[in-house]
Amino acid sequence: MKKKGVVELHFNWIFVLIAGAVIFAFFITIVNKQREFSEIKSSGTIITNLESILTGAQVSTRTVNIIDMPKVDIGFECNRYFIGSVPKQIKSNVVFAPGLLKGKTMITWTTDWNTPYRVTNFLYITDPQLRYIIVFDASTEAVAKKVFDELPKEISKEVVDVADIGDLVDKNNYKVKFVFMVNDVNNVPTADALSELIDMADKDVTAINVDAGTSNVIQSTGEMRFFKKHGNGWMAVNPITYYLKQESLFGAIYAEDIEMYNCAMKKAFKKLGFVSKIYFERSSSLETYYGSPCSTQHDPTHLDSMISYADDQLENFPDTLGDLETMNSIITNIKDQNHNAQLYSCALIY
Amino acid sequence: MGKKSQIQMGESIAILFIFFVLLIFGFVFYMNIMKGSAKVEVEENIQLKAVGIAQKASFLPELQCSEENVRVEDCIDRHKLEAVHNLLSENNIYYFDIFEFSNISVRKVYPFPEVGETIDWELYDNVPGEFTSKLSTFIPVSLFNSTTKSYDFGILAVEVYTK
Repeated sequence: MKKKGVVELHFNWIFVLIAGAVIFAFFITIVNKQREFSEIKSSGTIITNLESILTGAQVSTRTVNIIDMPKVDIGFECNRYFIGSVPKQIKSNVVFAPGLLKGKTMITWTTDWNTPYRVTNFLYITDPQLRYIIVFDASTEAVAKKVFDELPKEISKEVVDVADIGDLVDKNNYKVKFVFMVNDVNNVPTADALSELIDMADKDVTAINVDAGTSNVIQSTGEMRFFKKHGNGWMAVNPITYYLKQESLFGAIYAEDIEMYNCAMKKAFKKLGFVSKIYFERSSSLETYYGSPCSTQHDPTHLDSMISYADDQLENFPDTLGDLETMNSIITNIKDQNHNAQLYSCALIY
Repeated sequence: MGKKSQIQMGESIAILFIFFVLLIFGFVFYMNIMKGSAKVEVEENIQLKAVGIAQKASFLPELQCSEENVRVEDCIDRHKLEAVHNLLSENNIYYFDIFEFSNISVRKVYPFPEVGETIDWELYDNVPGEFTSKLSTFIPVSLFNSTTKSYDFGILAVEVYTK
């Protein structure tokens, strides 16, 4: 080949290479931009869906929703949640959820928290891939089965006797939560539960030990302790915490850890203070309006105590079980007052 | 390089130039369509937010009527109404999380008011100095007076502002 022909041929190849590289780079840039855009768009769609769920949770109760989602990780903290890297505030909503949801399906459940008047709705979020195991002993079988029945049937739940706990098999769930209803809550639960789950990461296996009573009625208040898997045993998390009404016990079952649980409960106590103030004002004006016997039924002393205790719990929860037991007595007193108001044909308190 | 090759090279560059021009045209067109659909989505989100705030207002336990703790839908307790304005203004930051930039008020419309009777209750007022849109929702409600056990008709007005 002549020298001139060789230069021409080489130049053509170099030209094709540069042009090809430019076209290639152009398309790669477009694809990358498009990918980023669609990720943000799908995060936005999920956020819109979750916002609607959070709004719905405030207006309807005792509802279970199964929501199909794009395959994306959703992280929950007490005050915010993340879709990928996009954060969004949970604000004043009381939400109990695991720290991370990986599944394509989300199960939401709402219940109302009444003390005895409706204060706020609790929203529980989980994934069918998360496994909840309720463990009972001879004295707590009835209450454990009651808790099992109260939880939505759509979640992966099971109830086992502590004697059979060694028979549990690993079902490849990415998170497992044990709800022990055995012994004293201060005791570390049996490590037999972990025999088949030993290979799971410590952060993915958690437990609570709850004192929910021994009858087939879940008691109104009680203490509970959170535990973390630590190798082949359990490690207790301090301090002990408490529940007020069964809805908050369910919150502890759904919550990732004690921090999320306590934080959500503090939000609930804040709202309790506000709602109680409204009922206090209302009863005070009705007490002034009525003569005997209705004025007695609208004596706002118990509502005033409720405001004080709610404000105290907002600062100090979880302080002592005694405080929550006192709040439970106040709830009973307000219920009785309301019942008497009905008997005397007075306006009801709530 | 020969003249023929130079012409060939010029042709190739011209083809590539036209190719890129068409590609850029296509891309700009696509981006404009995407921008349009994003605008519609933003608009929908604003409307969704307005409906959400109106829903939250009408289901607020601080306002809603109840009988033995059974909620009465679309009903506002008159005695709660008197107390709720102070609570919402004293805890403006807390309620901003729920109602954001909005104005929420209740007006009694029937029976016709007597002289000196209160018929307007402003519950929450957080209107921004400048806003881009305002969406109003009017919800007919009954106003329950628990002492006389009577109901009046009223309107719950929720105006949501977007900055």
